[in-house]
Amino acid sequence: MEVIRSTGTDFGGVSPLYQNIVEHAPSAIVLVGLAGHIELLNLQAEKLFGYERNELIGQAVEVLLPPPSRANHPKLRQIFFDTPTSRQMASARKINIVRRDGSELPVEIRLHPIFTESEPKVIAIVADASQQRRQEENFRLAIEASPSALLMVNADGTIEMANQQTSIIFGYPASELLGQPIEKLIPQRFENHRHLRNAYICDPQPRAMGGGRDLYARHRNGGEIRVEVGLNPIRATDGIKILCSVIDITERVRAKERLEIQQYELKRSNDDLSAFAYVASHDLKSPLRGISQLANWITEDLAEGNTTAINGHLCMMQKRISRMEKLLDDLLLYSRAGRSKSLMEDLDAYELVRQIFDSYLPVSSFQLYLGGKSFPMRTYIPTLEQVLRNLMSNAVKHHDRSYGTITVTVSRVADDLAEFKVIDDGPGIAAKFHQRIFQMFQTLRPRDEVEGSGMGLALVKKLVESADGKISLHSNAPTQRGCTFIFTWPIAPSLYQEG
Amino acid sequence: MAPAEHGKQVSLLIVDDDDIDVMGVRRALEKLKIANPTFRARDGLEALEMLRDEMVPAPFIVLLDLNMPRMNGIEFLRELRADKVLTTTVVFVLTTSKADEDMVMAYEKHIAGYMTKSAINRDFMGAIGLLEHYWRIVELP
Repeated sequence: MEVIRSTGTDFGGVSPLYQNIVEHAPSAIVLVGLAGHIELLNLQAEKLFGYERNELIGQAVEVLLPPPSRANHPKLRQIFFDTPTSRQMASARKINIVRRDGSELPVEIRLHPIFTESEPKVIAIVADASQQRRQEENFRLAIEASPSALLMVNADGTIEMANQQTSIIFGYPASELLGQPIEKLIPQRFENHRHLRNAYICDPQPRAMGGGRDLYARHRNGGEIRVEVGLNPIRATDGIKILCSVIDITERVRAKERLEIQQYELKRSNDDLSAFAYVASHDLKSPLRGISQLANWITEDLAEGNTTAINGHLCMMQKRISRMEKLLDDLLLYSRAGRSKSLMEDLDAYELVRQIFDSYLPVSSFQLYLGGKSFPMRTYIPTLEQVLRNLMSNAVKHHDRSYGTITVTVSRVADDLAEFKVIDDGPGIAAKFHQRIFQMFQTLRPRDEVEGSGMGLALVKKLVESADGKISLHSNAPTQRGCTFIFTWPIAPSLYQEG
Repeated sequence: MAPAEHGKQVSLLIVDDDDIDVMGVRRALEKLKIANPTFRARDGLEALEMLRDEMVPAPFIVLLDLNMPRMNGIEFLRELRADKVLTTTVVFVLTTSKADEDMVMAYEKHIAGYMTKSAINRDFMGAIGLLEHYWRIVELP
């Protein structure tokens, strides 16, 4: 046991070598007595604390502590001397000392009790921990700043650390995550996660979790999130920990789905185009051929000096030319249909039907019946008008009598969907033609009998389907007369009442 | 005009929805001085009706267009070949459709010949002439 005097710099009785060693030791050394007074300090200690030693010797050691810690320190000193052991001081907490100029310095302090003749004392080795503290802080900042959610989970599956991104993704503040089982963040249906976790712990490898499978996490609000998880075992001082990085891939999944839809649409569009080109080239050639033939016949007849049929030929030529023009116009309409999305506007559906009837159906011998007095709604007006106009004029055009009735009804079948019915009392359409009439250029009567491009219903179908509606037809010719076209049409959900 | 073996005139049933094409056939027949009786149906349905109602006296040849409303040429051929009475009818197909599928389908329904109208606009006369020879040479059911 060394006898160390408690007075100043006089180390009489101590060998000069030991004096030298203590004085010039690379660590700051302080000797504190049982009552808590500073008895000795070396050169490094002077430098660290910023004091001359005679300013500190005899002072209470509390003078080196930040004011808030001073009150409690004597008690801690007492506890130390009750069971003095060589150990790190306050190892769990981060401690600072106060220098002469009032600045605080983060330190690590090792305490070593010694027993002298008079009383036990403690040697404190004080090390400047500012660099270490900075590194720890930087590490913490890096973890916090990570764009991935980072969680540290121990071998029992308890969350020991979670960064800010984790809180953002899962909706829990850190306080509600720490100490919780990791299963809190996993949807309940994955009951076997615990088993998988235990299996992983037995031989933990750095890898992606769930290779190839779709992974789902659970948000605080109960909703599920598509995620990707990386697992990294860390051998920490107190056991094995798993560092998990979690990325929310919801947006990526959505983008992929959007792409798939686009590709599907593109393929559909291409298929449409092929079918269109095939049909168009055939049906457009037809009137051209007729015109060409008539021209030939006119030439032949003139050559023979036969003029009787020429007027007839020229007349037929004109008819074919107009037919071709109409075909091309309707083709253009068809190809444009559903392309531009107009805005929804307010209208009265029954009023629109009345207007169409009055302007476009000139035959006064036809009657219009409506399913109600008024039906206010909010929808895409120009396209709805086209659909109704086509259906209603078809009803008149294909009627076998010069008089008849058309009935139009409107009803609401869902919050955002209306159903229209256009009913006529014409000859009707036999079941076997029901599919065909919606195709391009399909007519049920020869064009020389009933002038029509055959595009009307194809256009109607395209318009209805572009608006996400559906169209169907009910008719049972020749058993029954009459024909009903039914189509659904989107409307803005509203509080309007039907009249 | 040489009558057929049985001493009867061969009738012609033109099945085509296009008035101008029908005019074309009739003009061609006129030019060739073929005065055989011609009948006309606007589509397959009408043609079947006329044949079943025996409005077209035997022997006859059918000149068939493939693209018509309600019942097109192929559907008409199917019905024809399925009909016990009409199955042996001689049919020549006159059409604008160059598409191979149409051609193959028509031959599978056992037609006597296939001629595309647009390709033979000029030679339409030749085609009709061929028909004329056909019904003089071949024995018709």
